[in-house]
Amino acid sequence: MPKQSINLLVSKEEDTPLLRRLKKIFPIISAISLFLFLTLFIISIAYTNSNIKQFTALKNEVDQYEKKIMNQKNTEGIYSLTVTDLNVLTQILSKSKNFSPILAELDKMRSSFILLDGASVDSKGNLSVSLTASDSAALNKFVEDLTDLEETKHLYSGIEAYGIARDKKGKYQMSISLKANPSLFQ
Amino acid sequence: MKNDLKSLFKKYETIIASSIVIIVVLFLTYFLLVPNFLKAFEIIRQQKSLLTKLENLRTKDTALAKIDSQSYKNNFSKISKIMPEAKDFVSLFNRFDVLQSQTQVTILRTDFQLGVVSTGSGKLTKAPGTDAYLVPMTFEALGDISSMQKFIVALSGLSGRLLTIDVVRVAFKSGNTIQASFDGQAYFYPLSSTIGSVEAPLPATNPKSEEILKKISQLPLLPETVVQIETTDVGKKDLFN
Repeated sequence: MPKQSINLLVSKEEDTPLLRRLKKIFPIISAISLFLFLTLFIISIAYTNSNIKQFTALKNEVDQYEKKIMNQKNTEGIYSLTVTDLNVLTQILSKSKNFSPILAELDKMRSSFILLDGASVDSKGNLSVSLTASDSAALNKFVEDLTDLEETKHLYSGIEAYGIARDKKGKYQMSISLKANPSLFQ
Repeated sequence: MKNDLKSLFKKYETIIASSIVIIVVLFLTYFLLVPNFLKAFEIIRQQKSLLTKLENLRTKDTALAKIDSQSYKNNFSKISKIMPEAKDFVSLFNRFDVLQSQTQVTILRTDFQLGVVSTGSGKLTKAPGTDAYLVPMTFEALGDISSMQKFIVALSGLSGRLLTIDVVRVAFKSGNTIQASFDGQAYFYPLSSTIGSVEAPLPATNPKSEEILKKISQLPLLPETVVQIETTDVGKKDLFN
């Protein structure tokens, strides 16, 4: 009988191309991910540890300053209250008007020929005056002077006269309303 | 069966081992690495806010160190008399008494809107454009023109209770005498019972309020007015003796 050879070795199954590729890629991915994880983990631990000390020191300094400021709360209190009051006073005084100059102007309107019966003025500058002139010439002079103050010195504006009456003695009574310049309230 | 599994494992062992490593890494990333990073970011964030807080505290501490506490106490007591915390009608009456003697003007009449007598008077009104509350009032005064001018200037002169005027009505009497009627108001400002938190900055001043503070600091400390109450005999306390 002729000799027959039997191959006892089982032939290896060839991997598919996909499997071959996966066998190359997966280990690379796992190695890279493991490396990245370990690196990032070590960095995060090192950073946290170094910053914890800095953070604690900073926190201690903040606590010290807070304590120091707490001990000065009386000073802070008196300062805060004073400044708050001052700011309110500033608000009030910036809106307040000084009626003293307008009083002086009213006094200037008077003379031996012009008697002021009364006047009223408000903080918006609305001024009304009632007067008695000894005669028409005095009245004319008064109106001219007032007009001059309006046109040249701009102390007044919107001058209106009403209620002009002449009495038996030849005196003239008149009421005027006018707007005083804001400079008269400073 | 066993041999099949074995051969299958052998075939895919590289992939299985790599997958296990990747899964473990993902697991550890989620439970260890991410919390570590979050902690690190939190530390960075808190450090930034602490630095800002520290800067504010340093600025406040420096500012507090420069404050002359006694001087502010003195000025505050003067300011409290100029604009008290409550309506304080006593100081208003005192103010008119002082102004009368200082300016030679005679106060003929004063009308205040008193306390909580009615809904109208009980209502607190704020002065427009300010945080202070009003005590509306009208008063009449008699004097010559120069005295009246001094009186008007002194009303808002910070030497005592502050009064501002809205309307003046003047009647000219004989000679240089005038009778003036004023519509105006006094002010009061209830103070807060608490100051800001430790890290809150100190309130800021402005040039105008510093100017007012300078004027007030030059004024003398106003003495406390002591009201002397005279005792009056009211008769026998015991009817049998």
